[in-house]
Amino acid sequence: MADRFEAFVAERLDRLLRYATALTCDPHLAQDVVQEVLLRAQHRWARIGSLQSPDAYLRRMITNEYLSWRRRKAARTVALTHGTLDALGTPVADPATGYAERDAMRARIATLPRKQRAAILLRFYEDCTDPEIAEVLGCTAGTVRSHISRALATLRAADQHAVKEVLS
Amino acid sequence: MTDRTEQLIREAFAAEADRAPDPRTVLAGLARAPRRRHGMTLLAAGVAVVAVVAIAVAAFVVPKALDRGAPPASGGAGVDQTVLLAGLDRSIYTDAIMLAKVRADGSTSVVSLPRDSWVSVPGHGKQRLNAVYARFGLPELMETVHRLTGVRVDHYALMDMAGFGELADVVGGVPVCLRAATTDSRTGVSFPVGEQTVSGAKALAFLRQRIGLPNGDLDRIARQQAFLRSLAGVLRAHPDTLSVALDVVRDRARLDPKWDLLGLAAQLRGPGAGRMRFATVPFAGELVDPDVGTVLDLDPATVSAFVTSAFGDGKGAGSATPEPGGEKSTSDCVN
Repeated sequence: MADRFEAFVAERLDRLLRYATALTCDPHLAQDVVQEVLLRAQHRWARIGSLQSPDAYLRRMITNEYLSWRRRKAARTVALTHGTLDALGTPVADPATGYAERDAMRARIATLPRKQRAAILLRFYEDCTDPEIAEVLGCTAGTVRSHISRALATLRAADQHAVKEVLS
Repeated sequence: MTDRTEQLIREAFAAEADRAPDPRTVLAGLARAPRRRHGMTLLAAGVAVVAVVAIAVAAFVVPKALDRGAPPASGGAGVDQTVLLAGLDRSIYTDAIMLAKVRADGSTSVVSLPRDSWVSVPGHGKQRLNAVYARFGLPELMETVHRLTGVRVDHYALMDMAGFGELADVVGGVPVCLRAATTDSRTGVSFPVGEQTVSGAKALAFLRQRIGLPNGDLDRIARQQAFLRSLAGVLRAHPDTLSVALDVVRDRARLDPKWDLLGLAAQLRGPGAGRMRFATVPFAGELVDPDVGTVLDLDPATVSAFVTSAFGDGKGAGSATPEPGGEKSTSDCVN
């Protein structure tokens, strides 16, 4: 049984860490969250490993762990993230505006309320349906749609603003 | 505009994900992490298991949890208390209903109430017992059981039936024994004759089958009682499986918040802790109701006398559970 847990981790850890990093906007926090969740999962692997989709189960654990992470810690994390983004802010890239826009979007996503961010991550990064997202977040599909539409409204408004700046 | 914003969001998430830490760092962290300590949480939840997995389990498990060095629970002398235990199916019908009495000395009697019992619900006339919780709620179910048995219900523990399948899973299977091979035509699940070990979906099917059994729900009750008794034996023989079992209960059970679980834990260390009995209330016959079909006709006076006797001194009606001490609990064969 322990072997199966090790095998699962070896195969999926990278993907889980990428998900957690995109969710938290902070690699260190992502590492803490994933580590915490895996410790708990290992402890009850007999049960989780036999589920139809251990992946989805762990994704839900990671999301909930992050959403319930102490607020103080999370707030500090966002501040750090912005600093990091500023440091990364000068793109070398081609097309230059493309990367700048993308990084500006990263910064805006990082300022969204956590549930809204989780909802759009599950929608646009994991390609989940509304009911699937609802299951992860423990809310109704209606609430999911509300989270996503609010997040999109915020991001679009800021996006238009940013475009004007780029073009001016 | 929309597509462009969404495209940007996708790219932004992908870029963010690229910053993920090296998996090897996390693996190293996992290897270094100390093993979890459960302490009092384990103790309190241990009692929860009891309640849900039928007090039967508790009487074995809790004393062990306490013996592992946890401080003695609050209070001292226990009190006689009654607990309503209900297993819910997916549409929250109560497919298994038991009333348990834990005496001050820790001995326990459990009485099953058939789900087809035709009972009086205050303000709602006659109903089938398994629908009372779903249609009216917990207070109504507790009051209905009170009226039927004459026993006041002090506390409750509800768990969905699938939780029992998971419990069987995490303890590595629960041995049961059948007198005849059967197939449940509704689920397609078959069971051979004789001793076998069930877990997961198979355990759930074992607990839920009534189609294809000669006595329907009554045979199912016999299975539920045999399963709980055997599960208690497994937990006693393999206390290392306790913590995962508790995890399942934490996720699946709804427990009376006013219940003094630590007090119960102390009580279950009492001199009578090994004595557990299971019984099923007697019924007068079957009735056919034009709306709900065949139901069981119960005579409240008879039921009340039966439960009073079963709950009286612990030596009343019902089959005894083997005293703790024997290494293996033999699971008696059922239907």
